[in-house]
Amino acid sequence: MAYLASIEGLSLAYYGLRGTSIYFNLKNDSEQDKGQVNSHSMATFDQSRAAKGPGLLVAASCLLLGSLGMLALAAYPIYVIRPFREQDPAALQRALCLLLHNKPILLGLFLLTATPAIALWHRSGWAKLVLAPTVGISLLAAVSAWINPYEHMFHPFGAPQYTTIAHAALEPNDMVIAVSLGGESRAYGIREMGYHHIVNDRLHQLPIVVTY
Amino acid sequence: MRDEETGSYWQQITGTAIAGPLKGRKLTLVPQDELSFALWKKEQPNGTVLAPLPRYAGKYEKATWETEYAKLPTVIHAPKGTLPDRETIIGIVNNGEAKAYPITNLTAQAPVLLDVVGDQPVMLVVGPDGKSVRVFSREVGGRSLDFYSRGSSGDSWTLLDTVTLGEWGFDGCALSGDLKGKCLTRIDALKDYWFDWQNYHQHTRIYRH
Repeated sequence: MAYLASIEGLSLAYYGLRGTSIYFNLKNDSEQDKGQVNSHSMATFDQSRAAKGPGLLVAASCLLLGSLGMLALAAYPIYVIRPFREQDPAALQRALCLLLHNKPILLGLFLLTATPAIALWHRSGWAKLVLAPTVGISLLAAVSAWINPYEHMFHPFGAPQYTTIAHAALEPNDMVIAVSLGGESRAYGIREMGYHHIVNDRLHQLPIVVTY
Repeated sequence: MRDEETGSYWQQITGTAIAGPLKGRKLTLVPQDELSFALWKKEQPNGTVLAPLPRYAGKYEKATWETEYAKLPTVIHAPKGTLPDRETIIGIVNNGEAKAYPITNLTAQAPVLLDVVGDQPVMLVVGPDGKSVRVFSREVGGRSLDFYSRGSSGDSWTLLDTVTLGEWGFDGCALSGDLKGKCLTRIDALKDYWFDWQNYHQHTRIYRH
C-alpha cells in the first residue's frame, strides 16, 4: 500500500511500525516529486480517519483547557504561600500537599497534553495557533513544579564561615543570636540573619539550624 | 523552611514539621540568647562569630533597622485593646501558660521583674547593656528566691537575693553567699513583635503594671 504522505504542502516521512527510532522529517514537495517517498513507506494514520476542521479545533481546545488547568494546579500553592499576608491554615495545608506531590502529577499531565498536541501538529492547520500555546503552557506548568520562587527570594548561607571576636564586623550595640553548646558559643548577627533567615551550621559537632 | 533530605515543610517559630514525610515532628531547641554583641563577647571571649558574606553586604539590614521596621504595617493585626501590633515583647511559655511582657515595661522596671508563670516563680532580667533580656526560674534547691537590683548598668550591675543576700550575675549564677557557684535554670523566651506572638499563642496573657 502507498499513501500520499503530504499535508498542507509538507511531506512527511513516517516511521515504520517496527522501527526503533521516531522522527519527523520535513521535506518540500519538490523533493517528494523526486521520488524520495518510496513505495514501502508506511502510513500510521489513515487519511480518511484524520481529524479535520471543527473536530480538530475542539480537540485542540480541550488540550488548551487541560494545559490551563495544569497552570492553575502549579500556580495554586505559589498563590497561597505568597508572603506578606495571612495564610489560611486549611489553604496552606492544601498548598503544601500540592507542592509535595505535584511533580509527578504535572509531569504526567504534561505528557498527556503534549503528546497528542505534537501528534496532531502536522495535520492541524491553523489549529496550531491553539496547539502551540497548549504545549507552551503545559511545559511552563510542569517546569514550574521544580521551581519555588520564594526559595529564591533569600539566599541561603551555604557553608558558613566564622571569624574571631577581634575580627568581627559588628558594632557593640548590634544584637546577635548567641548559641551555646558544650562550652562552645557562636554569635549570629541579627542584621545578617534578617537577610539570610536560615543558616545551616555545626556547633560542638552537632548540626544546628539558626533562623530569624 | 523546607529540608533537603525529605522535602518536609517546617514552621520556623515552633520548629514543627507541618507537611511532608516528617509532619508532626518537632526540632529540639538549642540554648540561645538574643544579646548585644558587646555583652556576648564579654561573656564568651573565645566565641566565634558568623562571617557575613561580602557579596550580600548591600542587602543586610542597616544599624537603624529596628526603628524602621517599627513603622512598617503588619500583615495580621492583634485584637483591639491589647497592645500595638509592633510592640516588642518578651514571650514566655511555661507549663502551658503563655505570657507576654512589653519591653517598655521591662526597661521601666529594670533590671529585674518578678512574676509567676505556669505556677513557677520566674524572673525577667535586663542586662548591663540595657537591652539584652534573660528569663530564669527563681527556684533553687526547693527554695523560691526574690531578687532585687544593686546597680542596674555597666560594671555595677548586680542582683541580690533576699534570702542569702548573695550577689548574682546576668548569667544567672551566684557570685557570693551560700549559693555561690549555683546557677538559676534558664527559661526559653522569645523577643518578638506582639502581632506575631499573639498569633501563635492565642491565649497569651499580657503583663501590665
